[in-house]
Amino acid sequence: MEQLLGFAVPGIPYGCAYAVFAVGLVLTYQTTGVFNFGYGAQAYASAFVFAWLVDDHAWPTWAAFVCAVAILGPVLGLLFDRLLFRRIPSANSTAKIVTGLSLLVGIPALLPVVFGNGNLVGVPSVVFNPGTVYFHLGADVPVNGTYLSAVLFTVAMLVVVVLLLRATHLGLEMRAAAESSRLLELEGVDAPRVTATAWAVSGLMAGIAGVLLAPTEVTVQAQDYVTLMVAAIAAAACAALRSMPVAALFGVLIGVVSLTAQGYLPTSSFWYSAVLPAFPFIVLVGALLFVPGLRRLGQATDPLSSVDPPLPPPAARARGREIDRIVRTGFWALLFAFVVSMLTWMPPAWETVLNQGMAYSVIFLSVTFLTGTAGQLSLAQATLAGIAAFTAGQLAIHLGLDFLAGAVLGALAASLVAGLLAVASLRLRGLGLALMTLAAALLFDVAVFPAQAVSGGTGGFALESHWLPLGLLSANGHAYFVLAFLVLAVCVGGVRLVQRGTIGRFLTAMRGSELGAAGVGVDLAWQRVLAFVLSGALAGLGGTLLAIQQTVIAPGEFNYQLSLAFVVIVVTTGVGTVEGAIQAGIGLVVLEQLLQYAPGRLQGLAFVVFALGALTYAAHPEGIVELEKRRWTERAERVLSRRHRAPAPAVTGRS
Amino acid sequence: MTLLQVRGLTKSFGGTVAVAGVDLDLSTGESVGLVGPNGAGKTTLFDCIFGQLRPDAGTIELDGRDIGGLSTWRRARLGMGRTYQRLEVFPDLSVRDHLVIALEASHTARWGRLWKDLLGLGVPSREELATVDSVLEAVGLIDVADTPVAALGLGTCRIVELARAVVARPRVLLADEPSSGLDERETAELAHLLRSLQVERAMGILLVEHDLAMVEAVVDRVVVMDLGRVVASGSFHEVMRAPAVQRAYLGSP
Repeated sequence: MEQLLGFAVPGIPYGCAYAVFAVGLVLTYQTTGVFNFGYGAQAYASAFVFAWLVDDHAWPTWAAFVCAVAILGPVLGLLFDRLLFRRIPSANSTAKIVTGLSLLVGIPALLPVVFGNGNLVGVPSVVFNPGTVYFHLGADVPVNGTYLSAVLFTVAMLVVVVLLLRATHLGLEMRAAAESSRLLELEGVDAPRVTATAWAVSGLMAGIAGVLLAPTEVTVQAQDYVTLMVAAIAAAACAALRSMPVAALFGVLIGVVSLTAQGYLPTSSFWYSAVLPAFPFIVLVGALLFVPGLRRLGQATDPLSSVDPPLPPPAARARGREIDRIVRTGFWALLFAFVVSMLTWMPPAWETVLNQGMAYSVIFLSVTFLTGTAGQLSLAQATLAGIAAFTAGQLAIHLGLDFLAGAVLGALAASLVAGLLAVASLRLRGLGLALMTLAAALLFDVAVFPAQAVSGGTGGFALESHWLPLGLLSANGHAYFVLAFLVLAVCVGGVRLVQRGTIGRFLTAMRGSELGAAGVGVDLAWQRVLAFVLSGALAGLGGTLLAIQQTVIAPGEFNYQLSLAFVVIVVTTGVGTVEGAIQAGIGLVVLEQLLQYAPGRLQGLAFVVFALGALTYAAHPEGIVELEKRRWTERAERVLSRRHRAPAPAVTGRS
Repeated sequence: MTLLQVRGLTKSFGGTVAVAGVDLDLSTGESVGLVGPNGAGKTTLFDCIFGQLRPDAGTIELDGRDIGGLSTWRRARLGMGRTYQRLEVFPDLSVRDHLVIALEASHTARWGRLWKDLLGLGVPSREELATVDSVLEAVGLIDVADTPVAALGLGTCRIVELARAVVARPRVLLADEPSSGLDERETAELAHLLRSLQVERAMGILLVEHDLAMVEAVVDRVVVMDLGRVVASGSFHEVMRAPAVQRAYLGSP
């Protein structure tokens, strides 16, 4: 018993951390109807500012707490509501997910840009001293300040929030606003004020959670908060995003069970190294598969959602015949100039950058096809790219297979995993599907990619020159450019052909209305699996191309954070067109290269730029680059039509 | 000859019984109106017949074949079509594309499509386009054939949905409140269109509708539901005089 307690008690702070985050997620979902992917970033922002004020500027702890939690937390919540989520139509669940992801990617990248990298080590505890042992459980299980803070705040927050929602009139109005703020307004309630209050409360909770968690880690790092949030999602999912006490209970259980099992399992076992770190994500997968309430997660329940205006038409439709001819001519001229430049005068550093951009473009095409054409959101595209790269690498190491042949087999392996993921997720839609793919990505991150047999450890392995023909690994010559260009061209051609064919029409129909598509005889399950399989093949080809370009295959190059960023980046340029994927690939690497010349604190600005772009998704789902293209096309059409119009007769006066 | 046969169909949501042991028959070329107050279980019955909800009990047969275990898309391929109370169109696609998809989905094999698409052969055939255009002509949509449906009004979208449902020549059409949101003139035109399509294509129609004038114009027979049960059945005028129907609509005196 003493041993069990000794293993279980250290799990309490982690469990409470999951519980606090899970309660916050459920609260936001219950009161605003938004599953806030940005919640972890909100908590991180408060912790970052708190640590920055205390460590770098020597503020008193209480003053930093007031500033970072009591002020910044609600303000962030209010800004999210006022500037972002309030503008998203209630039925547009994809826009809500994309907006949350943009915040999750953008805020951690923005903070160092604004405040500098700072010294965020050894953040103090707000209430109890973390190092002090206050009492013992049983004979010799110490309970220190960290445990006490975690338990005290978790219980206090749970009680306050449950009372707020269940025992107050404001709580009732918040729950009603989450169902339909427009119906609530018809009852004479100031629904925007109610929703804003809900966001402020949720922001305050995120702030408290963030600052409370900071002392449990050595340094304040965004990655810890994001990973922790995903684990908390598992707890929230077990409660079907409905019951806060159940979410809190599962949060604590996940933390305590993980640490207890860690104590009992041999450290050299597979269970310890692979299964245990993945435990929260396995719980999430289980919840998504077996909790019925999660199958339609994130889908609109607003009876008035049909009054939302339709989405704007795609940019290409604005193009007349003459402009179309000019654009096509310009495109081929630009392509010719690009190829000639790459083969003749382009400096090697920029050739490398653009080569990398082409590899990313192939991966991004997988997002374009899956999300833009089929309307399915996957947060595991970097993982699929990694599966292909590691497969090709292992085939080369163990079977001596040529890496290019291995790349094809790797792409097939990525397709297979994507297909299995699609089959496992057949009952899930929207947010549920996004969470399932995220859980899969995390499982691969913690349990598969770091394994010795897959990557040779966290550092990965280098490609050897004899694995590839034609000097593809050599920095000299243009062999890699030719390969990447050909692969990109074939992938673009294939995607366009499929988009214009029967499958493209079926997928577009499925994206528009699943009920309508099934009602005319489209096999939705098959189409979804096919979309995932093709998308997996594209991601896989891109992943192997990227591996050749980087000459190293390492788990860090294919982690879940990149998967999140990939969606945000492609959405910014345009998820509906293949040009959008190419612009995203080239844009990302060019922007990152240009930022090399900027001060160190601006290194993360590329992700901030793309995150800002993706925040406009709700208003411009075609992407801001596509939007600007449409505007310029319309301007050009107006100029052309003025030029072609016959001269008007002289006007002598107004009638 | 009975085309669609429903026996003892029951569907509950938690403690609420939405459909309670409903029997229903539809013959080839027959048009049956399904009427009743809100909450009577009409749309739930439709959802069960079309495979969008799994009934708790009962059987559904199409042409003597038990289709109770089939998914929606399989039922569509066996010759069922449906329009929806809340529009289920594909906003990014043109009117013609809606019908092309319905026609392609009714007969295309799974694997062949990918290779055909990758070889650039995924465009609709000349015969398919001719079939589609003939239906568009018949329903008066040929002038907006290339317009995205997002740019069309509600009334036109309802006709697009109807055209999409009938282009593959279904044997049974389930029309769920097709006049919802339409004005009197549009409703009359839609009723005329439904009737003419039914006669021309000899399909059975099951019509859920609150507009009794439209029901009278379209159907041969009426089935009245209330609280999940069939309370009356017969010709339009017989049924409207039945005390059970008057109670269902007007309440007990």
